[in-house]
Amino acid sequence: MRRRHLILTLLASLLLFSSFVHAQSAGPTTVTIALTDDPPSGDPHKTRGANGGHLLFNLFEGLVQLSGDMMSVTPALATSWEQIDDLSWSFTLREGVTFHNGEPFTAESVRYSIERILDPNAVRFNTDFRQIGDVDVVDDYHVLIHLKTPDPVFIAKIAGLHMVPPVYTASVSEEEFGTHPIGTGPYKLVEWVLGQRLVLEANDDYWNGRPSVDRLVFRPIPEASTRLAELQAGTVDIITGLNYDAIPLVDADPNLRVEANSGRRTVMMHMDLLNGAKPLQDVRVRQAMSYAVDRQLLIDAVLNGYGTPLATIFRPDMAGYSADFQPYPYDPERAKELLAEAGYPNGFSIRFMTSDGIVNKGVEVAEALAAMLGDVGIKVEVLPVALQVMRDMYIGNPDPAGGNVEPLFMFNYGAAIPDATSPLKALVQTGGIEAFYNDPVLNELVDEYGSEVNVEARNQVAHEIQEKLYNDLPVIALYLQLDTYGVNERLDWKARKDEYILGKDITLR
Amino acid sequence: MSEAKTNKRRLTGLRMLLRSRTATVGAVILVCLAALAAFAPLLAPHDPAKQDLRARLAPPMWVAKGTNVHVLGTDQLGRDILSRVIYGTRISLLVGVSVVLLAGTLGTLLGLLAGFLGGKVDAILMRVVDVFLAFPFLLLAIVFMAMLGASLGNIILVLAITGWVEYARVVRAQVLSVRELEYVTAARALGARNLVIMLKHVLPNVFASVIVIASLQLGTVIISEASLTFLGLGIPPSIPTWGSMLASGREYFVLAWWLPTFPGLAIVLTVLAVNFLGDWLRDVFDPTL
Repeated sequence: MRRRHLILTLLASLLLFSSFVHAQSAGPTTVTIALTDDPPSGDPHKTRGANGGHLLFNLFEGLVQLSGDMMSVTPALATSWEQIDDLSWSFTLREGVTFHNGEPFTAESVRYSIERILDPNAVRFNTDFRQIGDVDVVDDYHVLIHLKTPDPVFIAKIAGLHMVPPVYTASVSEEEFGTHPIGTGPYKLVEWVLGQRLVLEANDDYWNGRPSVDRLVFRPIPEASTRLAELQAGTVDIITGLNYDAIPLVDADPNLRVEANSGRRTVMMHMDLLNGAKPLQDVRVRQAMSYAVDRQLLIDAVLNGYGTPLATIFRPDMAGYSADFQPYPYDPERAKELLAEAGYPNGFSIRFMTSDGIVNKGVEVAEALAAMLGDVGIKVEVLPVALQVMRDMYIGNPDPAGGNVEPLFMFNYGAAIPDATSPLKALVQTGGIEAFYNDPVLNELVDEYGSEVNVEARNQVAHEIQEKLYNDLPVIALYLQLDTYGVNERLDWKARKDEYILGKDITLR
Repeated sequence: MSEAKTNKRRLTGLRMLLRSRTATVGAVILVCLAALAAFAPLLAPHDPAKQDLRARLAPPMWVAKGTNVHVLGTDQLGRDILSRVIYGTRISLLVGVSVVLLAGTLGTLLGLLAGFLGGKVDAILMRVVDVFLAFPFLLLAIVFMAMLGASLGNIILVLAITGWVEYARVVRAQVLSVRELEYVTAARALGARNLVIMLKHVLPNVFASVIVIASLQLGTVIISEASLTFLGLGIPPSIPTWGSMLASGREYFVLAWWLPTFPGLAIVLTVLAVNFLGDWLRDVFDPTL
């Protein structure tokens, strides 16, 4: 009797326990995503780069948003807009939107956010927005934005101009805001343990409806093989930077699939042409280097085909792209001739800085390039460093033109819209944050391209710029890199061209 | 007469070595490695730096799709792994032997000075030793390498700078007892100068311990070099080394196991051989150690 009682109790508790376990697994849905690194900051006005974007574009929004292929602009925090003339735009804002801390989103938030990103002392990443002049608050839900120069792609650019809450932002230090960001986006940040995980939770009050995935967990896992192992083990659902060589392995796994976007990042050999090594100053040497590189072999062998050779930093989808310029053919003989003409018949020695994070397979690609350059007599010593070293040296450097950089380095640029203004201003126009070049004619052409509203005339300017980029080689463009992801089959998700992994795009099957 | 005597001593040495099976194995492996290092250009089937992007990640010859062109397969840039492992022997042995020589000489001399002179010299030197011992060896090496930058010369220097303390401590302790022995007092009574007594009478009597430490340190140094290179702080990637092969190969472990496996095996084998020999040397020279 007593024994039976005991058994019954046991059974009952077992049932209770199992139902408890069941209830838990049917609880909040979590999707875990492996990134290559921690985002540099949660402050949308201070950070760039892919790992930053995954965080920012889940937490924050601009007045408008871009589709995943970057080709169309749809309403976000503004419900409608109108271009009044070349230099002014009026926006009608969405009513009833609140930031994650309850602060209401109004025209004042727009004015504050724009002024914040333009403050020359506080932020550096405003290359895309320097044409913005005054912001007039008409009433709580109407603003007028004035431009200093016309901007043909203004509306697409401001998809990346994120809105921050004025009261909260002003009340905390910049550092505090970077670790405790508050936006209007579909997700809010609940936990950030550096080097461990970022936990985002669905925003119940999101204006476009609560996203279906309750929790997004981002985990920085620098090693590609570790990311792959975790994907295979089922402990993460999406991995970024899937090694191209692992694609057959992921394809063969019935629980996993490969996703690739159409590529946003242009990969290049970048150079300090203001102070850098003397041989690089000679355009014939740069042309020789371009001829010495077998772009197609690099793509086929090292990238498993996931790339497109490039002639310049103009992506084929960019406004004004001209197919007149085709990538330099692989011609080592021509390269040797040019080197001899430039006075380096026996080549020269140079160091080449790279990192595995700066482009996909950064070290491997650089070593392959070094061997190709070696074949024409240029002795290249590859200098692999941690990504942070390159970030500090080239991206965070307050005076990149000051000469305290390695003269030859691997680089990429991922323009956020199908337009070349921002890469041109950053990479080749004197004064750009990653520019080491001084060509007054090119500088003016870039300004013209950035402000010309007539499409015909703009394409003309674009053609002239590409001609200069192609012949003078301020940077040696290599290829467009496709980004590859490993994804668990339980998710419905497509890779975006802008490379951000957004919780609102994900649903569970 | 004296030549015959040394010959006889050498003979007994060899016989003693052969009596220990592990020591024999160790010695044979080391001799082979030394030969590999010395004749690398003759033995390696390919140029270790020669890339062939069209033949990247080719498997070893006995695996499906492997060819006998690349016996141990190729790496992510199509370089021949066998040739790289063979050339890597050079770096490992060069770094190992140079560090042991440098650290051994420095440590022994300083230990000798500290032990023999005593007083302030001893106090100061031993405090320096304490400072070095307070830090984990590899951490110290990482700090120095990060400051000096990666190069072959620097890694030897750094490992020697962090490796001399072991010798200094042991030698000093031995000198403390040796210097009180009667033959030292006799030498002093005969008017020998300190330097002569140190080098001629004391040093030979502490040398056995130095040999033992050196043999054990050789293995540690080879691993340290591989570790530092693995972390990107050791030898520049243009020179093939086991450490760098391991580091770049680990990304491919699941896809192409042969990339990290062979350099890893080479490290294990070398360190094992050195340790076999070191253990035996310790037993021979000083059963009490």
